[in-house]
Amino acid sequence: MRRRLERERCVAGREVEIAGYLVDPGRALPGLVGGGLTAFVARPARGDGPAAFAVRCRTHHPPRLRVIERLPDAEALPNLLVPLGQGLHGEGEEGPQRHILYPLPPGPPMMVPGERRAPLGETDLIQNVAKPVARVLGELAERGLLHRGIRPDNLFRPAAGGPVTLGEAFALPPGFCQPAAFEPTGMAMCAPCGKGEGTLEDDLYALGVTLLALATGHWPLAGLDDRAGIRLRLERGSLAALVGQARLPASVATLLRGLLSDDPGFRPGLDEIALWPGGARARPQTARAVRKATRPFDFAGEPVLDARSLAFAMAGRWQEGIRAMRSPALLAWLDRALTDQPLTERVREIVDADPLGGESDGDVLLSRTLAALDPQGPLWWRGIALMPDGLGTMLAEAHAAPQPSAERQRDLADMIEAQAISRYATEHLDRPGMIELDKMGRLARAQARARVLGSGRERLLYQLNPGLPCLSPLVRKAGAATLPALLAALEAAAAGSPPAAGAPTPLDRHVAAFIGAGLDGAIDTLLAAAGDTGRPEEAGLATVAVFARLQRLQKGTKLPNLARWVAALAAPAVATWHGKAARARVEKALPEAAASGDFALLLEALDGEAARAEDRAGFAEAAATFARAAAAEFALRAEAPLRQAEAARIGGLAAQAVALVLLGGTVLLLAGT
Amino acid sequence: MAKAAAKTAPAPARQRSGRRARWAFWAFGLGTGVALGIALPTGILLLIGLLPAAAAFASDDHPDKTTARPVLCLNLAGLLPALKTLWLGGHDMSALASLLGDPGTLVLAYGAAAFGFALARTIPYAVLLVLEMRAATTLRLLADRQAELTEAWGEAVAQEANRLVARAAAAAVKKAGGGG
Repeated sequence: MRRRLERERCVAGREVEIAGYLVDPGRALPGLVGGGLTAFVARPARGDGPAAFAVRCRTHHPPRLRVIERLPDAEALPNLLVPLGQGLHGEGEEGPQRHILYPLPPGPPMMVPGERRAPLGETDLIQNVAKPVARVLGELAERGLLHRGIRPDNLFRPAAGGPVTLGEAFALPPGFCQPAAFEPTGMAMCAPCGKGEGTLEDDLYALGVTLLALATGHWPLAGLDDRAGIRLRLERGSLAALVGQARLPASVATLLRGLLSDDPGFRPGLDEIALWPGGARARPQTARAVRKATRPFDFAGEPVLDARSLAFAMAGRWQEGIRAMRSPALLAWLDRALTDQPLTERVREIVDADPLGGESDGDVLLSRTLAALDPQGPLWWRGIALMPDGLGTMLAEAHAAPQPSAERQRDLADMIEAQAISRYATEHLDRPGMIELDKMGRLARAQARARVLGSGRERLLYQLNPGLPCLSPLVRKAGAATLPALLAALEAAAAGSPPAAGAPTPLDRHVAAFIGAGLDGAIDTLLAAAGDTGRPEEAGLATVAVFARLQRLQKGTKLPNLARWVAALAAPAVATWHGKAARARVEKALPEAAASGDFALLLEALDGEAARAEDRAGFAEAAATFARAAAAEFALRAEAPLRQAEAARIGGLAAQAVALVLLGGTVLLLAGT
Repeated sequence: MAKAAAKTAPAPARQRSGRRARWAFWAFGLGTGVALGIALPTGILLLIGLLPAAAAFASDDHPDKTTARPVLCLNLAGLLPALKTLWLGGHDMSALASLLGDPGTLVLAYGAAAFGFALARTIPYAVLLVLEMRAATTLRLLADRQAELTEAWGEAVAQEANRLVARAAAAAVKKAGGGG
């Protein structure tokens, strides 16, 4: 992929240049992207290049930048729309938005939602759909990547036929655009932005549903809403629910039996698909039947016959679910009607862990119970479903949306605080990666609890969403998604009078968390010191040090306005100097250093190492001298009685000497006369 | 002042000085007796002329007799002219009577003794005055230095100095406690 992160440049007319392409924001291209995003016409700004389109992303639904960075060149993936570049463009309340450029697909989509069309032939389906998609998935899997956007309206090919090309899947969180019918049931229950990265098996399931749609010529589960579709699949199993009475070619039917299995272990591998039908391995292709109860469980008037359906129903009516969980009827049904002893015991353990039936524990207990009832299900919390690794994108949606939902923010905060992720992991210890998930849950709670500057929920938000623009009110409109952009935005904000319309500091919680996440914890100590309002002198110095470090990393771009603002905030740091002469020198040097826009100079003026050492040494020497003088003064005053005794002794001796001299003189005088 | 110094002397030293005073008293009496026996006029002159010195020795309780000794020396110096006159004038009772009849003899002897007493009492005060003036000068220099330091480093230097002193005192106390 050609990575061309260039500053957008306005060109004559409405077109703007982004990453070497002229994008026309006035000309939308329908049918190329889903999830409510808009695609615009784009053309190469210079020379030859493929015709392209640009997708405008949304701040609160972060694009998959890490995946884009690791994608191979387009030549290695001829059946995938590989991004050509990306850049920021736009103004207004939402600020600049990221635009991702893709080459135009080779033709129209294979099928649009709700459309009925002629079924594809068996050979066409295997050779031109299944195998090209499997090759793409294989190339991605080699790099540890997934597509998460396989569906008929995201497969393109020329009208004349040929292998399909997979459309874009990187401008939104993984699986965001996937209709519920194209996701395994557990994933389908999740909020669109909370699906997490998923697994290759999720892509294979989506491929299976896509093949089914193309083989039958109609959209799977059309006419059913998402909940009804999920319920149907839970009750009957995906294969039976999706295929229904459709007649399929034998080879395709065999492939779909594997791909649409509710047990991921039954889905065929990419190498099998690449050689299909010759590569099909002998394995039991029929998934295990859903375990049914002998009598239905009446949950809120809804009869349920299996555990996963019950979990889905309880999750949909959270408070009633908590009541049902605490009623003896549930355990009795699991034990006697469903006759699943291990599950009964597990649920009993969970419920017994809440002897008091406390309200605060109800959410935790129901979340754990649902995880036990539906081992393939997502993490449920107050009716929200997400895969644990989708926490970051959920937080982004909750915090970065144009009208953030306080309720969603609170729910997610409570979920983190309750360690629901760790508890989910402990309910699925048989799955790989649960140890790491448990650790992630604990770390997330520790981070969310942290109160020092540069930590807390804000830090968690940026840590889990690399590329998310800084949401600080100071720079939100600037859409600063990188540290250089943040510095430039803060410099612009500092140019006002007062700086940033009276904001107390450029290092608010969002800015600090953004910097902390951007530098991967390298300056956490400095950030914490900068937020210590109880010690304004140290906080001022630390603030200067933070920006000095950032400026050095950004090759020293001058930031005079920001430096003046920070210098004013750091003025109390002058008091950290002991010597009055040193303070006067620093006070004099401060405005000059700030005007230079060089934070290193500012830091040197405020906290120069050599001068600081000299000041400390001088102060220590002065204090020692002062102490010695005080001690000497004390000793002199204390020695007054000794001086009196000494005077008496010396005076007595002197008097005797004088008397003896006079006596001797008299003798001599009388002897001479 | 001498009394004050004597008061501070330890008890064994006081006992020793008491014994010495008694010895001196008896030696003085014995000497005077011998003088009266061998040379009666000289003895009588010494007995009468050195009465202030005897009184000074009797009343001076300082172990070093810092008052009595100057009194004795000058008392003797004041009596020497009379002794010379007595010895050169025949050394008989009439010469003694003539000398004692002259008021100038005893006035000179007693006046000299009084001068000795004054010397013993004033010289220590003069010495103390010198010592106190030296101490005051040192104190003023120390205060000036502290003021200079405060001017250059602010009040924090005094606080830091106090902290240092407190730390040193704590260390000394700890050391003393550890040693004990």
